[in-house]
Amino acid sequence: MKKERPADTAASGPAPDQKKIITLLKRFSTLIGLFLISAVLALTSEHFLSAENFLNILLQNANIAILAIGMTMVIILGEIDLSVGGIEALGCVVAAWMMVYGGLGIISSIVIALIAGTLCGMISGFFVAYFRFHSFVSTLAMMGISRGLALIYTHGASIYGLPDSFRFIGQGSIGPIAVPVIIAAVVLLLGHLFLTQFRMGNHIYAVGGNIEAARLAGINVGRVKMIVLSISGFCGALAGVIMASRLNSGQGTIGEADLLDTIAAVIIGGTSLMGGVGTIPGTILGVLIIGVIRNGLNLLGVSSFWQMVAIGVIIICAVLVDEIRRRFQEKER
Amino acid sequence: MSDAPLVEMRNISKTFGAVKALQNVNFEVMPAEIVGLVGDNAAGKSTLMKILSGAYVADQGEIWMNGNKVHISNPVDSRNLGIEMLYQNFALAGNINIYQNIYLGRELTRNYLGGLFKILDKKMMADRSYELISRLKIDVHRVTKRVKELSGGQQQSVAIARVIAFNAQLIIMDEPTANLGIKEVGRLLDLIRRLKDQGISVIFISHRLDDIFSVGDRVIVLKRGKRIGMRQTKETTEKEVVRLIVGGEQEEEDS
Repeated sequence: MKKERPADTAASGPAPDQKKIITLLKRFSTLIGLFLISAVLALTSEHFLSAENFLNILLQNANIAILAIGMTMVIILGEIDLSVGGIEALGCVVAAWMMVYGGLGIISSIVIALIAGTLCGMISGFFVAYFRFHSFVSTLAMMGISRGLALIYTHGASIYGLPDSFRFIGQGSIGPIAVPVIIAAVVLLLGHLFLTQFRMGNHIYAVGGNIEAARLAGINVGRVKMIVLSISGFCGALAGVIMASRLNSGQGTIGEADLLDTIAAVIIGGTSLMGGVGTIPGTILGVLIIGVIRNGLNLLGVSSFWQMVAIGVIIICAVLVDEIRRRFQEKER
Repeated sequence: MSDAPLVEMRNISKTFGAVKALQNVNFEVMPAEIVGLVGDNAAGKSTLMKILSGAYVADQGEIWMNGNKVHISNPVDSRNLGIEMLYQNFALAGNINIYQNIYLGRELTRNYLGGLFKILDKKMMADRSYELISRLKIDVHRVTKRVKELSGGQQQSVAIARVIAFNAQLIIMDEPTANLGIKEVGRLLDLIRRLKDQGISVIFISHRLDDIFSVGDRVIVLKRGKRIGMRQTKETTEKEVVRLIVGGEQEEEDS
């Protein structure tokens, strides 16, 4: 604040300069982590540090980024959404089915797929909000329902014969940048604005931080939960539509590994599972960390099994850094 | 003091499971009056006030305000009527900052694109919060500090800033002096007197009778969910009120 008094800087503790550096380190620890990992990979693999590879990393992780943006809001709220992978598959299949068998145009098929995903989220949100289900339970159920429906639609096979122009969404590019990356960037921007510039964003943090205080402040807590889970469902279906375009088909089996990557990215990005804490930019850094590690280890020829181990270790490191940061802050008081 | 009550609660009853928390309780507060609400633990003081603030809904009974019957079924209703409550645990969200807490649920926004988008007016909220906090003489330098980084006294100040920020007619304070030092209690009692001077009524739940006697106009005693007595503080003594709290029989008729 501009009205900061000089007395503030004279507070006890480390000297001002030192304090500033510590604050910066605390704030940007995820970013620093990303740079360190990138630096190591740049030194060990000659292919890592190229524009092409960078764009490739962005494309490979655009879907996880979209899922993670919805998931960030859910986790800030103190809830969880296990159904994103299932809704992704459902979105993929619904879009493809509408185009191939439903005789609908591209736009209307996409819209229907997005509505389907949003509805799935809204339904799990409804049970969380008005029947006091734990979101773990209602989204676990929705995970089965959405994936099951996707497989029923496709009879376990794939839907082929999508119109050629639909490919643009998943395979096209504007300039050097792939369309899924652009879509993810737009979702990122909207998600960030939503959380930081709108009343609802404020309410999400408040509900995640102290649900009773939020209720006493007149916030309709159930409504907030329903909206946020609907947003996460929307993000799932959007990722599914992009997958349909990238694969040129509707498949009920996609995105099975995406749930864990999504949660991992959100946590690495500094969002607390306890709720109330987290940002979209942080989550994007988390997505990039996972993406960069995957990519770098691929370039180095490390097996994907070891990649799983590496990501597990990173999760532990990220949460550990957060925990140390938190204790440090408490000491400072 | 005028004759017409600002707020009148009539025949309020509330049960939690098998527990009768309140039985046919009447309660009234006049304009610009400070009422102390006292009683032993589990007498029903907080429950009665939470009904007035909309945190609970009464099973039975009516609430009248300025001569009109009103319906308070949630905290928004109560706030819209100009009733604010300072909760004993402050009801603040520690993870968000001071001005966000003060304006929680009533955020100031600016319209964009003809009201299609309402964007938070953070600067306005921060500036006004800073003014409020300065008026309360709180030693908090930045309103962008997260509330969990504040001391207990500072947190209470934020909670107080929130209840006085919106032109309340009636402010309910639940045990506001319970966790304060002597100096801070004095400051709070001064504030309550100032609120009265501005025409605001205050209901003051407390165990500390000397606090109530130093600012209160009347004191109402609850016991086991019933109202058992009322005194003008000028016409009674702390001893008498203690006797009511501890051993009192119902001396007022059930209406």
